[in-house]
Amino acid sequence: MNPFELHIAASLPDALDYLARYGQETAVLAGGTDLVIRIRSGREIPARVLDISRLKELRVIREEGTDANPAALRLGALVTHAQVVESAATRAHTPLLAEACATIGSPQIRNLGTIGGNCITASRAGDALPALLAMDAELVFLSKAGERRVRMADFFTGPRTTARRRDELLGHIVVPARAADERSCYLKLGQRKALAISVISVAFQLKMDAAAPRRCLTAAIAFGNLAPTVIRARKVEEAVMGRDLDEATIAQAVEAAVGEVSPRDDVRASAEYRLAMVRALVRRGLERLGGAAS
Amino acid sequence: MSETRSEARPETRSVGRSVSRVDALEKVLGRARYPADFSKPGMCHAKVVWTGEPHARITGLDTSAAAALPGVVAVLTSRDVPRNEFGLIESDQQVLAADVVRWTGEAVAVVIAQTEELAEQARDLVRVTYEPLPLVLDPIRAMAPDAPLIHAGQASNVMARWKVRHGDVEAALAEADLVIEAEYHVPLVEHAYLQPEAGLGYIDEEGRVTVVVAGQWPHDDVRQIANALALPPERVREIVPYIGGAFGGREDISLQIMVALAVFRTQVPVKMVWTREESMRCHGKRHPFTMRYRWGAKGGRLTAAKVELIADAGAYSSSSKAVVPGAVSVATGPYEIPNVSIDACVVHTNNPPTMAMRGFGTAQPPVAYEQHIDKFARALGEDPVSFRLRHLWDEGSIQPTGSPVPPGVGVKETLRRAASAAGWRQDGDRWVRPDLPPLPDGRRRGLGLATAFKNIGYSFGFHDRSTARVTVALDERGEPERAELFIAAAEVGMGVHTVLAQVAAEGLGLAVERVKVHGVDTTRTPNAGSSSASRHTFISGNAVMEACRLAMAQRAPGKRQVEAEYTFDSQRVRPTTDFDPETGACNPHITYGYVTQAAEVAVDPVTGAVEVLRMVAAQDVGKAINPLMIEGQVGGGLHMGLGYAIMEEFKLREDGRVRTRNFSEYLVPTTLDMPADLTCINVEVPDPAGPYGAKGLGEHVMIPTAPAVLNAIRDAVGVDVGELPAGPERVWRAMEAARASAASGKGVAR
Ligand SMILES: Cc1cc2nc3c(=O)[nH]c(=O)nc-3n(C[C@H](O)[C@H](O)[C@H](O)COP(=O)(O)OP(=O)(O)OC[C@H]3O[C@@H](n4cnc5c(N)ncnc54)[C@H](O)[C@@H]3O)c2cc1C
Repeated sequence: MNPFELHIAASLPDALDYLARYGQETAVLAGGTDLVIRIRSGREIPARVLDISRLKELRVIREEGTDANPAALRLGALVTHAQVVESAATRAHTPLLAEACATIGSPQIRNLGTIGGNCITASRAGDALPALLAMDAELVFLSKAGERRVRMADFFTGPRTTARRRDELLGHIVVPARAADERSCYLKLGQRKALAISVISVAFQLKMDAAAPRRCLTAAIAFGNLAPTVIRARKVEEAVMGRDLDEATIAQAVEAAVGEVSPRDDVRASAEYRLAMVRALVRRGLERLGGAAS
Repeated sequence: MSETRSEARPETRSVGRSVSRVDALEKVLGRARYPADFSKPGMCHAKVVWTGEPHARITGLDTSAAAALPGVVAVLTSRDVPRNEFGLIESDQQVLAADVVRWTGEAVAVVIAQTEELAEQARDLVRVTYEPLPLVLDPIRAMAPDAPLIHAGQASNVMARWKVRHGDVEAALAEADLVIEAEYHVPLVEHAYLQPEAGLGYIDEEGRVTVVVAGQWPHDDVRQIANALALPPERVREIVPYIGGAFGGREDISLQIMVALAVFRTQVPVKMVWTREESMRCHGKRHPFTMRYRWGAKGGRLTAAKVELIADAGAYSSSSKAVVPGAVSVATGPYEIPNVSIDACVVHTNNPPTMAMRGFGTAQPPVAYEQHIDKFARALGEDPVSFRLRHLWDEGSIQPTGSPVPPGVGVKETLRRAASAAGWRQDGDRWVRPDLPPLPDGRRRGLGLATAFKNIGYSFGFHDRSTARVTVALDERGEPERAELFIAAAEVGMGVHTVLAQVAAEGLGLAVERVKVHGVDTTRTPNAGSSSASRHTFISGNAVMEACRLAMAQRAPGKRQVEAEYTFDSQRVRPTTDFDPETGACNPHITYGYVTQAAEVAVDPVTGAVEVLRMVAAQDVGKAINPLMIEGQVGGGLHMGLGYAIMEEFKLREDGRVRTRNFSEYLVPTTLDMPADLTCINVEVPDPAGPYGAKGLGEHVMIPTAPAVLNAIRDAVGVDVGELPAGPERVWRAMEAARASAASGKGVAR
C-alpha cells in the first residue's frame, strides 16, 4: 500500500477548505468499504485522504417540505445503508431505497457503508443507484464556491465516472417522497443471500390508477449491472405507461427491456444469462406491482 | 478432583460426552495464538516474488535494485537453496523457480527486509523476464500425444493410471435390460480456510532452524525443510500453534521452506504473512474430475458398473498418486455390484497443483454415483431409498477390489435414519417419499438424498502410524492425579486435542480437565502423522489408549509418576495392500465411515437459483466420542458440501491466470445460505478395532452433501445438472435445454 497523508476533517468548512486546496490529489473517505479496498489493491493511489466520517451533520435524514406529507427526504451523504433500512422516514417515504439498501453486503457493510459512498463509487452494480435513479433523486454538492445540484439522471458520465468535481463534497441527496398511490420494488439477482454483488438488478416505481387498478399511470424503472452505468429503462417505462399491465403489455415491456441493455460477461455471469434475467425480472416486477393488491 | 473417584463408575465417563473443547475458552477469549500472532525482537519480514506466469521459461532475474534498497537484508533466489526441491510424495517442485515455471503460484525469489513495507517495496523492484511456453489447461487435451509437455523428459502428461477389473463388465452390460450412461464434471475448488499462510522462523537456543507455522503434518514438514536446506532433520524444528482451518490445504508445504531458508541464510528471525490473494493463488486445490459412468441393471438389480475417471493434477504431483486411488476405491459407491470395471488417470496441466482436500479423492465420485443411482431408481420406478437399500453393503460384502468390507458396516442404518427424519415412511419393504406442499412463492420444492462412504486412515499398504507419550502423576495411593499427553497431532480446528484428552481421561480414570495436551513441537511431541484422512480419532486415539494402558500397568507402590510411549501401526491391526496392477485387487482401506444426507431445496424455475431449506445428516461414526463436536463437524461439512454443490468454483482465465482472486470473487456460502433446519443423527455401529469402537467423520460429513442437493434439484425441476457447481446460471441452462427439447417434441429425459 502506498503511503498517503491523512487529514481528518474537523468540520464541514475544514473539509471544503481542504478540498479547495488539495482536491486534485485527495480521496474522500466515508465508510471506506470501497475506498480502502481500492487503495489496498493499488487501483487507486491517492496522495491524500480526507476522512469525513466525523461530520455528524452529514449523518442526518431530514424530511423536507411543510406538509405532514413531506415532499422529499434529504439524506446526508454519510447516512449509512443500515440507517436507510431502519429509519421510519425512509421506510415510509422512500421504501424503494430502503429495500435496495437492505440488499447491500452484510450487516457489517451496511453499518459502515454510506449512501454517498455508493453514489460516488458509481459502480454499475451499486445497489442504491437504480433506486435513486428511478426516484429522480438529486445530489447536492458542496464546495467553497457554494452549492451545486445535479440530477441523478445527469450524474453518471461513464463507467465509474461522475459529474462530481474534485473540489466538491457530496453533501446531501434529496429523494422525492413516494406518493401514496405509488408502488415500488427492487429485484436483485445475486449469487448468494448476503455479500453478493448484483448479477443484475431492477428498480421499479409505478403509479397505478385508483379507478382502474391494473392501469399504470407513470413508471420509473432503472437497471443495475446491465450497461456501463446504472441506467433508466425509458423504453420499458414507455411500454407500460398509460396501459393496463396485462400479458400483452408485459410482453412488450420485456421486449423493450432487451433493447435497452448491453450486458457483459464477467466472473459472476454471462451476458446471455443476464439478458434472459432482465426479461425475467421485468416480468416479475410488473406482475407483482400490477396485481390488484400493492 | 478426587471426589468422584469412589463413586460407581458408568461404562465410560469421558468418552461419549459432549465435554467442552479443551481450547474453547482460549479461542473464545481471543487468547489462542495462530502463526501470524508470533513475533520476535529484531525480526525481519519476508515477501515473495511470485511468477504470475502459468507456463514460461525464466530468461532473466535481476535482484540488484531490490538488494540495493536500504533496509533490505537479503534477496534469495534458487541459487540460495541448497537442494531446490520439495513435494509430498515426489520432490518435483522447486522452492524458488530456477528455470521453468509451470503455474502462476510459483515463487521466484524471497525478499527479506527490516520492515514489511520495505520488503514489499523491494519485492516490486525485482525484475523477472520470461519466454512464454505453450499452455495446457484442459486435462483432456493434455492427454493428447502431441500436447506440449508440462515436465520435459516425461513420456506424456499422464502422471499415472489405475484400473480395477471385477467380474465381466462387458458381458453384464450386454445382458443388461437397462443401461444408463452419463458424464459428470466437478471443478477446481479452494480450501477457503480462515487463516492465510503465515510463519515465523528463528534459530532456537540449540541452534536449530525453527519455524512456527500451520502445518498438517509437522514431522513431514521437517523432513522436507531439512532436505531442501541439506540439514539433518534434527537441526530443524517445527512448532505448530493453533491453525485457522486446513481441510487438506496445509498438508503440502506452502511457506515452511521459504521461512526456514530465510532464517538459515540471514540467521535473524524472519516473519512471512501471505495476503488472502496470495493464499488463494499460491496453494493447491481440490482435483477437478471428469467422470464417465456407464452402468447396467437386469431384473431391477445393478449388475454392471463401468467407470472412467480423469483427474487434473495441475502442474506438480503433490499427493495426486494417493488422492486418485482414493477416488478409484470408492468409484462405485458402497453398493454391491457384481461386475465392475474402473479406469482412472491423472494428468498434468498448467493449472494449480491439486492436492489433499477434505475427502481426499472420495468427494468427487459420489457426485456421479449418487446421481446415477437415482437415475436407475427413477427408470425402474422405484423409490431411491428402497433402491439403495437393496444394493447397499452389509457386513462381509465384497468390494470391487475383491476384499470384504472392514467390519462395522452401518451404511443402511444411516440411510434408514436419514430418510425417516426427512419424512419418508416405510410401508412393508417399500419406502414412500413424503409429499411436499407447494411453496407459496412459486418456487419448486424438491427432496433428494445421497449415501457415501470414506476410508479412515492411510491406505494401500501404507503404515499408518501414530506415537503418543503420556506421563501420569499418581497420588500416594497410586491413583492417577493428572496426566500430560505428548503427541504431534496438529489441531486444525477439528477438535483432535479434545478427543485425545477424552480418550486419555477415559483410560486413566481422570476428568478431562486433568489431562493436558501439549502443543505440537517436533522436538518435544512424537510423530502422530498428519491431521488428515479423518484418522486421528481412530489411529491416534488407539495410540493414546494403549499408551495410557501401558502407563497404568507400570504403577507400583510408592511410585508417584509413570510414563509410557506407544506407536500404533495400522498394518499390525488391519493390514491393507496396494492395487494389483492388472486387476486392481487389493485390500484398500483400514476401515470406513458411512454417511447419508437428505436435502430439501427450493428452486426458482425462472432464475435457476437454488435455496437449501433443510438438511438431514446421519453418520455412522462407530462411537460418538463427543456428540457436540460431531454436530459442529456436520455443520462445517454441510457448509463445505453446499458450497461445492451450488457455488464454489476456482476459475482461471483463458491465459491461465486466476479469475477468482479473493473472497469477493470466489464465493462460499454465508450463514444465510445455510439451511435453517438441520438435523444431525449419529449412528453407532462400532468398529472393533477403533478406540471404544470409534471410526472418524471429519471428511465424511461433507461428501454426500453435493449429490444430495443435486438429486433434490432434479426432484424439484426435473433436470440433471451433471456439472458442479449448480449455480443459478447452470441450473437455468439445464432448464432451458429441457424446455427446448420438450418444445422440439423429443420430450424431457424421464
Ligand atoms: C464486502 C463488501 C460487500 C459489498 N456489497 C455491496 C453490495 O451488495 N451492493 C453495493 O452496492 N455495494 C456493496 N459494497 C460496496 C460498498 O460497501 C458501497 O458502495 C458503500 O456504499 C460505499 O460507501 P462507503 O461509505 O464505504 O464509501 P467509501 O469507501 O468511503 O468511498 C467510496 C467512494 O466515494 C467517495 N466518497 C465517499 N463519500 C463522499 C462524499 N461525501 N463526497 C465525495 N466523495 C465521497 C470516496 O472518495 C470513494 O471514491 C460492498 C463492499 C464490500 C467491502
